[in-house]
Amino acid sequence: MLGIILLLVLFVSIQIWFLFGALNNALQDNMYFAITTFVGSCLLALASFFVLRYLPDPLKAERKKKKG
Amino acid sequence: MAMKKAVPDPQDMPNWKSDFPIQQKKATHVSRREFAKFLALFSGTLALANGVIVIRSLLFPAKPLEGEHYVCQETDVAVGQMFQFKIEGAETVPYILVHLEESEWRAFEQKCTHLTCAVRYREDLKKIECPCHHGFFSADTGEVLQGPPPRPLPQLQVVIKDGKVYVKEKNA
Repeated sequence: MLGIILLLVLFVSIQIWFLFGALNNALQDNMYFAITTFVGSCLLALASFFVLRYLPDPLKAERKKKKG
Repeated sequence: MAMKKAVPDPQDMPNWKSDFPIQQKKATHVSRREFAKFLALFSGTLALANGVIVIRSLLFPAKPLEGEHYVCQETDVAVGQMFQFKIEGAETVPYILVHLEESEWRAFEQKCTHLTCAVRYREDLKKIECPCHHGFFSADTGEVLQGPPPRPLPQLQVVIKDGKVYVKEKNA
């Protein structure tokens, strides 16, 4: 569980870095860099959603039987 | 001995409690599952934002400056001094005109590429300085020499005609 969260935090950090680079390069008319980071960011987003499959099932609190 | 009821009987509860059965602690608690889902959603949002940047740049590219714009008289700016001026267009952009040496003129956008602070020319250092975070740009080419600015200063071409200073879009 902790590993999944750390992995997601890593993905988000890389995406923030990509976003910053894309903005700077788009302002500098360097579209290839911006498009490359967009593709990379999309792949990371897909990886993030894929990782959610491995989340453990939630614990269900056992209901105490009603004592009649 | 009376046994304590584990689950309160709804008939014994007051109406407000039966209408709002979820405890405040449980309602505000964020589980690790929810946090992981939030991170995945945030990741999707960042990818979308990246796409918006690309699409906006492709659909709405920056318009180049058209024609020549008069700035000032040649004699208004001494060697080593700078002159602030604006060009009105779709948006008003502040620029600085720098008289580097005799017959050497440079014009740059005044907004620092870091956080849009107003840059100024330092005659003692022969560099353009951003006083906010100590960023330095080359007074010749506008390239970043030092500090946090990520991009060089946008530059205009300076044209001298009949003792008057004009600026136009820099040739590629």
